[in-house]
Amino acid sequence: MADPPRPPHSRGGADPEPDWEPAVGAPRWVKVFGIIGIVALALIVVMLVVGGGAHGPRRHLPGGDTSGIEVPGSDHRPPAAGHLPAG
Amino acid sequence: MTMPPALRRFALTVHLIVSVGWIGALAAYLALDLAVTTSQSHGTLRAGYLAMELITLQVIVPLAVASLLTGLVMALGTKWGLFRHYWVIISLLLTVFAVLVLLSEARVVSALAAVAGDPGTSPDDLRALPGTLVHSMGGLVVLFVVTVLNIYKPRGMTRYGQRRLREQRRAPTRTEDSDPPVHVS
Repeated sequence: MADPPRPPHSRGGADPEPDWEPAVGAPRWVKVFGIIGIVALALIVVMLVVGGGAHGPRRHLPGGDTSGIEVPGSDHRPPAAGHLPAG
Repeated sequence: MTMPPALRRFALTVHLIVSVGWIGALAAYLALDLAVTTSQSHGTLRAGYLAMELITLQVIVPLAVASLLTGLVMALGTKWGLFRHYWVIISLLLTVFAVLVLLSEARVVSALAAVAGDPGTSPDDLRALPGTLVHSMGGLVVLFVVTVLNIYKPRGMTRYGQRRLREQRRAPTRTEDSDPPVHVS
């Protein structure tokens, strides 16, 4: 890392607060995180596009609607309201 | 406005409990998810999906929302702030993303449990139901990353944070309690 070593915290405890000098510009780890995040988002978008707007278990839900599940060989449909608690 | 030390420690304690609880509950969910993905026993499948719904709606979702809210309190109530340090911003973004995906997946899990819990669902139909492994494993990875960020607190201050720091240094006689509130920008 290009940043200087962090001086010891002036306060102890499980949640010490910052006391180091700020570096100019984003640190390298932030840039790495940004690149990983962009790649991950791109992968998700590709999966959504390839999957026709649905991925994972949603591919079994017609039109992405969670009010019904498509089960092979069955006409079963769960309750439209689902089981989510109100609010 | 920063919290007094006693209140800060209490808020930190609550935040740690709900956040670690979220990871633990998700690990338990992952075990169920693996079971319904690999098992051929209709008893295991039926019980597994019903348990997945219970643990999602009654444990994981409340803990996730509580973790997000207490995290916001910890950021805004301490000198870390919400937009002053990169690790805080990235933790916030990842947590919000995880909560949004979780809320979306909760509906899917409920729908799966409704099918699995229906006595009319045949064993073959039960075996055809999917698991949610991608989301549960992905969620666990995201929570591990957030945990590492929160423990190591890698340095790196945003321009906003640097400006706030300069302002505070120009007013050295100001006490902590008289600091102006953090403006969300």
